Amino acid sequence: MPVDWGADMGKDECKTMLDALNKVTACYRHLVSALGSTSDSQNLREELKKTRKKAQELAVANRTKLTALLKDKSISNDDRAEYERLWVLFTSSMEILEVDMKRSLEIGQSFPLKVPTRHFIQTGMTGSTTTVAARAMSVQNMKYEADASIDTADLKDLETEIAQVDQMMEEMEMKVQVAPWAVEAKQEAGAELKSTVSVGNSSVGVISVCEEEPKEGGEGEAGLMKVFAGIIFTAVLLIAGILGYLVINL
Amino acid sequence: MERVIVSMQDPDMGMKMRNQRLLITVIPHAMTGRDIVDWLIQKYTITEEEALHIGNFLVKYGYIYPLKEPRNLCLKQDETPYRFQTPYYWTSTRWPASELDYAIYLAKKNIRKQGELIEYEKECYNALHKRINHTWDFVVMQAREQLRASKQRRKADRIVLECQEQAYWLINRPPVRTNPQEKNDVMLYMWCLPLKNKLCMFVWVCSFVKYCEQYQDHDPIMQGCLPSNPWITDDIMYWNMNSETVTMPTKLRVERWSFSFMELLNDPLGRKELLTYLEKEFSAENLCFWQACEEVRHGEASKIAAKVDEVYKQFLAPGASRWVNIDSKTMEKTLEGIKHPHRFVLDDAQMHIYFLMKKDSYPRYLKSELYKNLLAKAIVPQETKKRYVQKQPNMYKTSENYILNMIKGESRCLTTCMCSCLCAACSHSCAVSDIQAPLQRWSHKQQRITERQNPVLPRPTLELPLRFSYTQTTRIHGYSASITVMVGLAMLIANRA
Repeated sequence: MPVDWGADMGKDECKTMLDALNKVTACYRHLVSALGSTSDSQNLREELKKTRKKAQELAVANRTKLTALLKDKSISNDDRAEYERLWVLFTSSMEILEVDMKRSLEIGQSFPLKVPTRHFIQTGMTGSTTTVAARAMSVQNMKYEADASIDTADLKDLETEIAQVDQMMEEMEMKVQVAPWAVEAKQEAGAELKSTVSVGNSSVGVISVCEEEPKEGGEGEAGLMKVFAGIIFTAVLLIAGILGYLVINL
Repeated sequence: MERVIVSMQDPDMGMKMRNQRLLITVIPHAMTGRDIVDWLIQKYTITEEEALHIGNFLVKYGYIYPLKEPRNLCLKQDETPYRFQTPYYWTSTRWPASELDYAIYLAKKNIRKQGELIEYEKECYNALHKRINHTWDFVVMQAREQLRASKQRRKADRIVLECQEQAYWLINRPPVRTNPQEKNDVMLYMWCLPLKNKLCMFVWVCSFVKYCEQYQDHDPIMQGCLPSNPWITDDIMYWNMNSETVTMPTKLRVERWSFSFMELLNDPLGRKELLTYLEKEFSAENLCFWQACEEVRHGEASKIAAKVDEVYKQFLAPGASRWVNIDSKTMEKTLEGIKHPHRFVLDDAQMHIYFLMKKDSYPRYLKSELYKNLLAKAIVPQETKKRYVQKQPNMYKTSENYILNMIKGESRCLTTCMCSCLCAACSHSCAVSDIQAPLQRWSHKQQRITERQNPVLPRPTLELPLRFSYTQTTRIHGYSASITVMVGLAMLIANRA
């Protein structure tokens, strides 16, 4: 049921949904590249399945929203240009997702799990991909509940899903007339350096020290940490305020 | 090749794995070159040379990658470490390495290396930015997200991921080499061949190299075309200057006639010049005969008989007006053939006359006054001014300029320290909340500060829109932000007191 959003709200909603789809696509690619290697396992197959389902939900939601927005003839030219840009983002995401799904089907078929002489490629990766999948699903911890035959059963689902995605992309191209090469990107070359300068700097020194161990804490612990961090922050805030007051009065 | 790789993974009969030690991290599943060769020899009972050859293929096609010198894609039979590539990046699957993927990889590398890409990577980056400009937003977004996803793994796994991706792209987008090195490489490859092949290859390679060097100046793509390339600037002066009926040819065209006799004959203007020269030498009938034979060969099938008859009357009959000097054996054969004329009946005679001209008239023509005068008078067209100037994107200067502008407005060192602390604090918190343009807001604030006499201390914590997400990294950022703020304030107080 199309709801009558204002133009700005529609744009923002689209952007957040596209960001989510982008995140899930990146995580899915990361997971697929671990297939067939030593970090492959039943858990990985389940993670792939869940991430894939989530990606599909997001894709359908995005598609409905964007087609509704683009079909509306009463939008201004600027708005239309913006929606076309978002559309190009969406189609590129779907391209990458489709390629990764096909590749995961191929690799999944060549490296079945329940074979007595199972030889996974020793690539040097020994950690688990739980945290990546958790990031994709936007949860704190992943729960694993699949049974042992997930690899073969999942492959059939995967084939049907790939067919669905293909069909969806064809429909998209038919219904919406957007020329992708006419869209101008907002970011210039080297744009990724500007806002992530700080991310790059701090991550090298700080994160490598902290994230050596993968996060495996329980849920209660996370809550306690929240309260603790809040207390420290307020204390720092108070001290900063007091010092500022002293400065003004001196 | 995958079966070889998979059989190498066998826990009992497979490769012996070692650990790679990098400062503090230890990454398993490394193997030395010698191990690989030994295993291949043992498993398939082949000679050492064959094993080395197969191993080299495994490395060149990306199933195994070297850890110490990633750009040197060959198998060394010593202690150099190698590792297996993950199946996602295998070449056998034949998934094309798309430009979008390469752009995402370069963007990721750009972020990780803070803009310090290698020369050829920078060029590829700029070229891709032009070519797939419409999806550039997606490239940047996806690069950032992929980096964030990989940060969720352990450090050892992250290093392995980076090495894997780098190896994949070194194979699919190898660095472009310059010409002189290619020549050396060709010579290097020839070294491996047996002697007989070596000789033939050597002769062929030398003649090919000589051809390339000779024609390099005449290649419109390599040297550019004077006055201008008609396909680019829509100016057909180049074609007009090189047409068949021009009075004064260009210098390049006249130089080409000296490369080979065929060049001279293929150019209609050259043929005319040669005819003028031969008329002076009283041997013009050779060229006319050759031209007539060409017409027979390439002309209409119905007119062949008539043409051959004419040629016979004009050039070959005893006492003909323009009798050509052919040796008796060829003359007999030709006269026999003329009785049943077909397209190629005059071939032998034509060949004879061709070689006669090539050996005799052609060198004399090149040394003649006629040719030398023409060469001196030939025109060198002026290059037309380029109308369009292409701008190169200067991405590596913008971030430096930005920081310089920020620092420029400073007058007091106190405000410098304070503002830098605040900016650090701000950037830390912005890293948390992913805001796009925080620094612009701060530069406005800083301008206001320098205008006033007594700068009022802004309250950073209340004015920044912060979103708290309670992860470990946020906490670290928060602590360091607060510490820098307090240091700044303390310095301020110390100055006041």
